Amino acid sequence: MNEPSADPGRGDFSNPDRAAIIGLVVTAAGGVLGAPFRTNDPPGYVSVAAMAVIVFGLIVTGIGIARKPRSIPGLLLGAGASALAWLGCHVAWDSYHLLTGVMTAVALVASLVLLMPRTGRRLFVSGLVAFHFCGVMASITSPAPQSWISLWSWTTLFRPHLVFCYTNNAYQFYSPEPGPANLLWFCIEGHDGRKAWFKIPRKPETRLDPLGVEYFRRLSITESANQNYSLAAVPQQALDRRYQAVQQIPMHPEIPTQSQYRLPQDNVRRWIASYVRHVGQMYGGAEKVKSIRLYRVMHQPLDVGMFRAGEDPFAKWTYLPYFLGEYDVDGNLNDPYDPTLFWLVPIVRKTPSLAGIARQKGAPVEVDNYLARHAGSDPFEEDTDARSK
Amino acid sequence: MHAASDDVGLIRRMWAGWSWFWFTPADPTPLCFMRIVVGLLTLYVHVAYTFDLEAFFGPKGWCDQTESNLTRRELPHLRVRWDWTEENYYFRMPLDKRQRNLVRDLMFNILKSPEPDRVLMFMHSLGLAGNERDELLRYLRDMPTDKAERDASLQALLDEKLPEEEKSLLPKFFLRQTTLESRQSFAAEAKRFQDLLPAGKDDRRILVQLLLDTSPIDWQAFQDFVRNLQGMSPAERDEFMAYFMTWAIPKSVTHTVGMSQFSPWFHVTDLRILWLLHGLHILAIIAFLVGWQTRVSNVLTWFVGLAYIHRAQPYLFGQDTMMNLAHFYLMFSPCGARWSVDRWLERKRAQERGEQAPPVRPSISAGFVIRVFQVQYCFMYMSAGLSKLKGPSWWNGTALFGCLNNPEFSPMHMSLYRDFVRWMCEHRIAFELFNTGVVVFTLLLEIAFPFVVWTRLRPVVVACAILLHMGIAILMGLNIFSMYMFALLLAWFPPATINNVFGWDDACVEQS
Repeated sequence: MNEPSADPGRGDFSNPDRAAIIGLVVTAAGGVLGAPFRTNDPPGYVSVAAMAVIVFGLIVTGIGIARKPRSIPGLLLGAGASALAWLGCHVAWDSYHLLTGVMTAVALVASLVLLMPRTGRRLFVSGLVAFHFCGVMASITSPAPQSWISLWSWTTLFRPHLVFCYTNNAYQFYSPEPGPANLLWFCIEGHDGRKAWFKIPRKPETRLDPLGVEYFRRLSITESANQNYSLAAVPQQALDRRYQAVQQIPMHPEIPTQSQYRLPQDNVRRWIASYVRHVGQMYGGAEKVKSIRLYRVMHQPLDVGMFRAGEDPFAKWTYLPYFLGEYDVDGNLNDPYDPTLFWLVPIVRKTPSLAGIARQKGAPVEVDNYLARHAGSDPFEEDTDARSK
Repeated sequence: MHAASDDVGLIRRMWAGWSWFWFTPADPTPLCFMRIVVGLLTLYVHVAYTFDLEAFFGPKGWCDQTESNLTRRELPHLRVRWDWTEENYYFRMPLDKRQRNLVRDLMFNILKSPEPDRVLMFMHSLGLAGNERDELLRYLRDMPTDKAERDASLQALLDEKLPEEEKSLLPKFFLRQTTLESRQSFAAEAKRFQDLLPAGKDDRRILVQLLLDTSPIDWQAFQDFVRNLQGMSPAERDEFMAYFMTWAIPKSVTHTVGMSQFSPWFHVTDLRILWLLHGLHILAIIAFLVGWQTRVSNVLTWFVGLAYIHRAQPYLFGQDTMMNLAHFYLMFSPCGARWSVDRWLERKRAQERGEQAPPVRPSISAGFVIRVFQVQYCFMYMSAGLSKLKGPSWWNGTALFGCLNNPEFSPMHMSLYRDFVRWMCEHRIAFELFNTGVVVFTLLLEIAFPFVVWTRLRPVVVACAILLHMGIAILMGLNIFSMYMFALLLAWFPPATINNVFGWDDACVEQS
């Protein structure tokens, strides 16, 4: 029989809950089951079964700890179960080594903390709080322009903790400015020469759930393709190449040249290749798909004057497509020297201001659609647009 | 003596203040209510994933498993130096994979050639030749790929009596060689270099174009890079190049690589297991929502949420951040103390024993977690508010219009909304008052919140925050994000307010 502690928050050496012991045994059984198959070969059904047993064992251990949270032997059993889970994980599930490692460390540290007197425990928890919120501060201040201290502390000190816990957001919503949204338009060419367009996201089709979560996830995919290098000027070689194609695809007359070239960052290009592979698979893979042209389409919002003139916010000319390249189904860029690569392919309105013709308010605007020429297919035509199928 | 005791007194008072702030027991009611709201939202978010499960988390999803695992294991984090020395300039690999392979092949061909130093010397001399380098590279690019043909054409160049019209087609660099010996020597060097270029015409065109685009500094860096590789053992070189080819930077300039992430979606390739796990994840969230084994199901729900988040970086937006914060902090709290299956079971068991269930009491962990939520909220608002000050549209009052007129966020497809925006644009006073008013309201609220919320004005600023997030939900369609923000705001609510509405008979015995 344990005497009641003078310090009610302090840990004790009372017997652990039975569930913690059972959990440890189950976890160990899972580890033993999976151990012979812990090779570099892909995990088979036995490894999956072993993993399931391990997870079940860990949950039971957790229930035991939750019943008697101040039992130091209980916490030590938890640490033991996590360590056994670490040992029992198949080599291929390496990310779970991280998780079980963290669980082991947390259980061990918690059992040590429970040994401390109240002030010691409070000091320790205060230290953790200070560390966590300093990390949050480093996250907030780490986007450029940042101080050396933010950059150093984020890279060196806080990153593992904040990335693991996903508390690494800078919370800089709509700053410095709310910007236009981006879409991704894929033009898929089959071996039979037919072309189809696949666009994400699009309202209302991709509003799959009533509150639009999946729509915004798709919008995030497209935004992830919009991280570009900030260049002081368009590289001369890119400009020279663009001029080679200017007869077929002219520059946009209303946008400065500098803004018509967007070089995606290296990590973005890796994701772009992955997106292309995914769409290629959707359309039947290498057997059916010859190539995929990808455009990041900035949907330019109307300004006040345009609204007053009765323009349509979904008019063709409000879409600014930047060509991200033509790919094979494996996501390899076909021609890195395509003259229009990473350039804006204009959809230009035949504006009243340019044509000198007064247009009735709200009347449809005619456009020169160079995207249709560039892709060899009109993205706004019903019979090529995947929306109608 | 007095000074020392004053210092001790000050430290004691500071510690007492700190302890009061963080470790005062509090009624867990707001956290229990938060559990239900957050649980419902999280359940919705994860059920919504069902529409896209394979497309998002399958091995061939939008972000495929191979690429995601590569990023998780190898993503470089550049070293931040403690001194003023800058990192040595290193050759920048091209961004395209095919170009990278061609550059690597050229490097390896140089190293494998019988006299790599002579090739590098030749490249060095070309680097000093300015535009003539490009002329020679184009000449080498257009030479026949067949070696016999190539040698014959080079041999013809050594003829001293070459007609003037043919001479005019030759690179100037070649014509500068005045003696036969120097021409012979130059032709041999050029031949040696040309042998290292790809045999395929298309590949050769791409590689030479890449070399033509190379700035003088990169041209030199390329040679230094090859010399560096020359000094490595084959095993070291392979390891070095494996990383360099993927990430275009040497591992030596990184502080560390990889991300501390975990998820079953990094590993599961069998779609049946994918669906099975998704189902189990949803069960864990339901257990948390109803408060069954709350301590364990809370940890499980946090792990579940992270599993989707870690695997799906490009699909994330603000709501995932808020969802994660809620689960992370609730994990340390007694959020199952009320309105939960755990509590119901506790009362039932007590009844069976003929006893009264122990009442819900204020706890230090509840007080601590409420404080953590409050401080986190202040950080978020402060950052959101201050960072907006960098943007001109937040100064000229048009930032709101930048959101209102965004057709992909706002309900612009609804004619009623479109007519409202159009009407506003037609009436300048209304436009300016509405837009500037909301911008000022947003900035004032976000920047002032961390200071004012600790005063008697707390109810006012909390009400304003609810108003702000309602606006975001309605005008920008970010419904779930806004609802999570409402849920986090519960940390500022007095338990009595929640009890008045949802109290029933199980309220905490002592209000903190």
